[in-house]
Amino acid sequence: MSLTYILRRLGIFFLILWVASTLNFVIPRLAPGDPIAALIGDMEEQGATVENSAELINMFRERFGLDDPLPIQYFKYLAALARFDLGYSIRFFPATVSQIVAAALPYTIGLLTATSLITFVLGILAGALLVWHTTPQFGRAVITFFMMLAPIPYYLLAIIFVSVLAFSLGWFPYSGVVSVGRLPEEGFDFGYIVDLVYHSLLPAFSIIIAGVGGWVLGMRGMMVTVLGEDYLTLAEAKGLKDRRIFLRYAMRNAILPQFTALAITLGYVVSGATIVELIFSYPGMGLRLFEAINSNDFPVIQGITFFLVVSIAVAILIIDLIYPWLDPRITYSRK
Amino acid sequence: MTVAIDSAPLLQIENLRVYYWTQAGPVKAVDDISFTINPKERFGFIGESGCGKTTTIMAILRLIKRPGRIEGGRILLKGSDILSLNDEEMRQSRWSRISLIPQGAMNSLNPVMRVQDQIADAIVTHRGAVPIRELRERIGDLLETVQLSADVADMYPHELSGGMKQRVCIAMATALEPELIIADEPTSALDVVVQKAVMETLIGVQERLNASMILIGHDMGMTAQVADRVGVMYAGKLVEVAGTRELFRQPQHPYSQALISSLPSIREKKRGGGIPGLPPFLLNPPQNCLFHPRCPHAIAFCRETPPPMHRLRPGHMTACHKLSAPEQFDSAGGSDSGAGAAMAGAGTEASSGHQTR
Ligand SMILES: Nc1ncnc2c1ncn2[C@@H]1O[C@H](COP(=O)(O)OP(=O)(O)OP(=O)(O)O)[C@@H](O)[C@H]1O
Ligand code: SF4
Ligand SMILES: [Mg+2]
Repeated sequence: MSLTYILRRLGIFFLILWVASTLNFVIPRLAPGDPIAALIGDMEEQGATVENSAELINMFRERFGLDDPLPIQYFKYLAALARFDLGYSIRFFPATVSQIVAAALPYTIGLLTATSLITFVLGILAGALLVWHTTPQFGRAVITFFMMLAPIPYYLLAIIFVSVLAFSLGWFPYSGVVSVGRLPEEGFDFGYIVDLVYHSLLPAFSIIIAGVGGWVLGMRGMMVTVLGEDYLTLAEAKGLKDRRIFLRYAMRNAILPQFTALAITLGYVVSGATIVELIFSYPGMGLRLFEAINSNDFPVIQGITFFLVVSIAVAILIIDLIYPWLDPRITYSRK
Repeated sequence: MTVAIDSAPLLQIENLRVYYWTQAGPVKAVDDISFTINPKERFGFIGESGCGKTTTIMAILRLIKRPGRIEGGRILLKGSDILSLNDEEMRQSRWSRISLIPQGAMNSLNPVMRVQDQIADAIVTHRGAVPIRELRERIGDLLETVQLSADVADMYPHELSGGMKQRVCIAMATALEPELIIADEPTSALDVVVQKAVMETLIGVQERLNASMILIGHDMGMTAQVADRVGVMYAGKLVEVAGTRELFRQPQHPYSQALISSLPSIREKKRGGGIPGLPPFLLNPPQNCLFHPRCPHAIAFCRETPPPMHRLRPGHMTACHKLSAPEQFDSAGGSDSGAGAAMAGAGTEASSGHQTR
């Protein structure tokens, strides 16, 4: 891989970050008047009492330097951003946006990274097997069934799971991340981890089951294309073992476009799975985002959006950097 | 090799039939063909696009894909029928006994694997693990036999030119020193200058290995130069087999005559694949002599009776009533119907027996 390629990719990465943060700066300022006072006014009109409202307004004015000329504001803003300082939550003042994000992020990343990867691996394998000649008829039927689940939204499955498995049968907890009052003990607490995983099983299942079908579809399509390629015929003529042809010749090529999709999926992880988190009261980013939107907590909304942009940009940067290694043709085709 | 072994044929194809079961009905891509290939011999196949050449050789490797199926016949390799091998035995004979230089060799290399790994794959699968240094050396030597530098081993297919890829395929096909090398239009995607050089390389390695070779050529001139014997296929049937010189000087079957008189150029065609829109000709073929609608000598007898494969003299076979039952033609008193007109363009009209796009 050439140095110019890496540098250009890094350049694009920073460009995306800069554009996203600038938009984040500009958009709230397009609204006429003082956005913060207006917001708090709104909330009070709706009957909410905002504690410390005067203090809050001052805090924000000072924090954003709203009395400074715009260019100065802009540079102060960028400088703060570089330190991941995204300002204060309106609803949970004096908590900062970074604190709120930091509290929610591990749950979301834990749940969604794991489920995304599991979904990916299952879906890719199933999609490839669906069109592979040695797959038994029964296996194909099972895979096809899951493929048909693809258009069902995952939250619908989640609702079904909660009502049947959690409420009616009581096999699973229906909310939270751990049992009520459970706190991790000092050091390595195995029981705590088991409790954590147990609580995330239902949300995880609904995400996985609803997500597998999409990967199956994508992979099946690519596999069909690859199976028609001349290099597959030659691999068979070479008398290679079936499994080797499947893995090194067919799947290895069919999986390439799926990696880009995986990167984007992983990038989106930080935005959480709002509805699943809501249904299961799972305190991840999705739930925080939902609350923030409900309470017009725009610094939090902006903060989460900004995090999302950063994380998608990072995911795409990573996939672009490892892609030439996955597909040796790529360095050349993008020279 | 001793003379005794040499005299027995390496490959005997007997009454081979391969049909594609399409929704519109069976396409008899290979219909009851028989021929033999002797040790060290180069056997050429000629015939218009879609006449079943690729199907025939893929049947020899037992790589016919659905909806295709081998319907009958025997394929004897040194006397034992490969159609009776189980899948694992068949897998083991592929490449170690019969190797392939496929049609469309341009895309026959896995784009994400280095040349070295692709050749090594064949060696290791059939011969077991080899120390990496030894493997590299062997692959380097193989590449040299096809006039490539050993550095090519570390390259990916997209870093090679068409001619180089073709040479890699040749090196790969000879890696296990098979008894039979099948080359399906090995030079059709190359430009003329490279074609000649690649063909010379191919002949060179085949002779060095004392292997037999089946050569399908889109370029009949090239086939005429390199093959020892040639089989002419028409619509899934073998209509004439003869020594190369004899065939090109005095073709006997009316179709061979038309084909050879159309030299030097036969328009190249794309493969039909498994796509709908099949050649109407093979789906709904004429009865008995398949060539009769285009044959200037056709008589009612040709439409009513299938012409048997007939030995004109040792080593020269053909399937035409005019040669096996000339008395029928005397009594019929010449040409039947208006088919004579069709004959004039029969050789150059490559679209017959194939869909036109
Ligand atoms: N998968 C398939 N499904 C249906 N018909 C097929 C299939 N593959 C080949 N055929 C038909 O079988 C016949 C023989 O095809 P084949 O590829 O063997 O011809 P060929 O002589 O090798 O032609 P070419 O010179 O174009 O390579 C053709 O009429 C073709 O349309
Ligand atoms: S059998 Fe009859 S129709 Fe067929 S090639 Fe011979 S003369 Fe022509
Ligand atoms: Mg062909």
